[in-house]
Amino acid sequence: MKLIRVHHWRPIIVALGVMIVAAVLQLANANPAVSQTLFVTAYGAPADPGLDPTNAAWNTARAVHVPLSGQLGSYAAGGGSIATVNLQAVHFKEHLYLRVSWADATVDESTTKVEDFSDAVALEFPALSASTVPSICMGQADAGVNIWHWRADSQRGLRDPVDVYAGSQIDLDVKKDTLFYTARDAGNPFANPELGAVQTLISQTFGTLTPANVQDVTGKGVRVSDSWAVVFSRSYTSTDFNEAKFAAGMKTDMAVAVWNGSEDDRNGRKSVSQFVTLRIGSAETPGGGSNGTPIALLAVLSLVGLSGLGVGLAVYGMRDQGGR
Amino acid sequence: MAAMRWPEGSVESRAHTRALTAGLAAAAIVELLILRTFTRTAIHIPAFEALQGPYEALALIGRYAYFLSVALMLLVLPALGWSLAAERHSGRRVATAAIGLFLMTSAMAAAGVGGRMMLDIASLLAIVSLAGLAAGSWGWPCVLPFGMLGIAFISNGGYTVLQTASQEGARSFDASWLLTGGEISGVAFALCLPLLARRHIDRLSVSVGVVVGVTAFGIFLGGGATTSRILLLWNAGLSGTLPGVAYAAGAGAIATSFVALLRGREVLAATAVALLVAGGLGLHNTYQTGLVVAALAALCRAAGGDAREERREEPPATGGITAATERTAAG
Repeated sequence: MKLIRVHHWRPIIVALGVMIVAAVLQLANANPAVSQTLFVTAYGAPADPGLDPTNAAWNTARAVHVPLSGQLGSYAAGGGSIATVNLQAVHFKEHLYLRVSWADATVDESTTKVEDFSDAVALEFPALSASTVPSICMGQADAGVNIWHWRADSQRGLRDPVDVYAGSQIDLDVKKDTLFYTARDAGNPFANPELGAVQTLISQTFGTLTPANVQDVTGKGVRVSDSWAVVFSRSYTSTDFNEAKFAAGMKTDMAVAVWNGSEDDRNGRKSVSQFVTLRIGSAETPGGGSNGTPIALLAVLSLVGLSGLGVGLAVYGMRDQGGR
Repeated sequence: MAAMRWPEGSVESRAHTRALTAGLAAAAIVELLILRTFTRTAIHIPAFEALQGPYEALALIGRYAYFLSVALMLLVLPALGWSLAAERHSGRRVATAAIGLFLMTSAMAAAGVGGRMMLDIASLLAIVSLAGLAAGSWGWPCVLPFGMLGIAFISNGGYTVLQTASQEGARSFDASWLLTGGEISGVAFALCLPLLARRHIDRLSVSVGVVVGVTAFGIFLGGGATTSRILLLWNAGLSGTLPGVAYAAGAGAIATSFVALLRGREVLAATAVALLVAGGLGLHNTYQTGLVVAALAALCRAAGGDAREERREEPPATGGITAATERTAAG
């Protein structure tokens, strides 16, 4: 009778134990699961790479190809003309440097005409206050996102409408009258390119995107052959309480969005990635890539071997079991 | 030699394993619905600010469901491994080894030991091994769904492995065609899944599948199309690049399989289908990979003794001979 009673209680004890363990894990925010998404490691750079995307430091920084797809998370969306971006990261003296490059044959850096749109790229991180991994689409109510947004037109600066609309007849010199530059007069950052090519933004869902209190991210883009290469930089810590925070040895989520101006990309119309993991390594880039071929070979052989293993085990299973 | 044999495991302990697996599937589905779906779509609710309190309460429940799933998984995977090892077929020991490999590398990764490439390859090794063994256990017609699942994981996971290799020092190259292959084989897996439940498919299961498929297609066609695709990406690891009708048909096929397996009293197999849905395709994190490993292990188990025990526990079905009956008669 005693044994039967013990058996009867065992499932209840196990269930209670599991529920208590889950509660403890949640209270301690101790997540035993490990990310298996794509990752990019920021190794230490031997010298300050600066904002120049052609700096030699980027020759040894390892790149990851991040696949993009059309923006599908909001209304009037689309895009998807940029298939992949190359992402590289280094750090130097507690400053994080991220380099994004992508193929884009057209240079779209003027938005003076209403039908023109700019090439641009943005990086998205969970905001410091995020209590969980945020929605990749501009965050969510309990998990905001911090966005670093570089625009080619902001970097190029304002263009004189007279140059853009060649041959136009004007009655007065609009260049000197802020009445004709209402957005500029109202302080819209996009109409004031002297504020910098990069804006730091905070969002907690669609429609809540707003500039951060502190604009502390710098960036520069250049054309390399038929591609854009843009470098973002910021110190590990920010004085804005809601911006992403970095530290040596830490991991964080990160996503990329690219706008192709010649494809009429703007706002929600863009190419976006899923979250990838950014790891900040404490050492300098190891190896220098000399063992690249064996590692790639090992990876390819593993995948081929896996396929063979699956087939082999299926055949073996049928013989062993007699099938179903 | 006899001392080297695994203990058979009692009928009761196997019933406990099935109950734990069902609990894991329930918790994972709740987590999928609340944490991965509701909290990310609630932004569409009008005057959402007024519902901030209920939203936060529901998000808390969703996070608890996640941690409950993780805690249950730490019990279910060893339990499934043990019960598979207790079977007399040597192939099942391979399944136990695959589960053990995944648990070991995941634990090492959580402790910061071992590289990402090792974790990714070990995860794929476990999934492909279990898919192969499950295909062998369920017989020829089921080679198709398990094969498609294996290809989807090798393609999606292979892309991750190649990119991980580039971070380890290998030459970086673009293999995004692998993702396209993974997308197509992932949808093909869903479409072929009813082969698992082919002997139990009846009018009701087909009707449920049609309703789910038509509803999903309606969502794809309607105003929520963009949201449904981003949820597809987030929840199932599919990028949504194929026509919406393909994903809608896949959803209908999964629903048909689930209902048919339940009605055929193959509860463990139905549980496995739910776990596969919660796990998604590709390598996202060890939690979701663990759900897929548990699902495939449960399917290996479901093709063995558990189906017979499930039938013994419940009254016989009315009409139609089931696969489990056939197997019992044959074996």
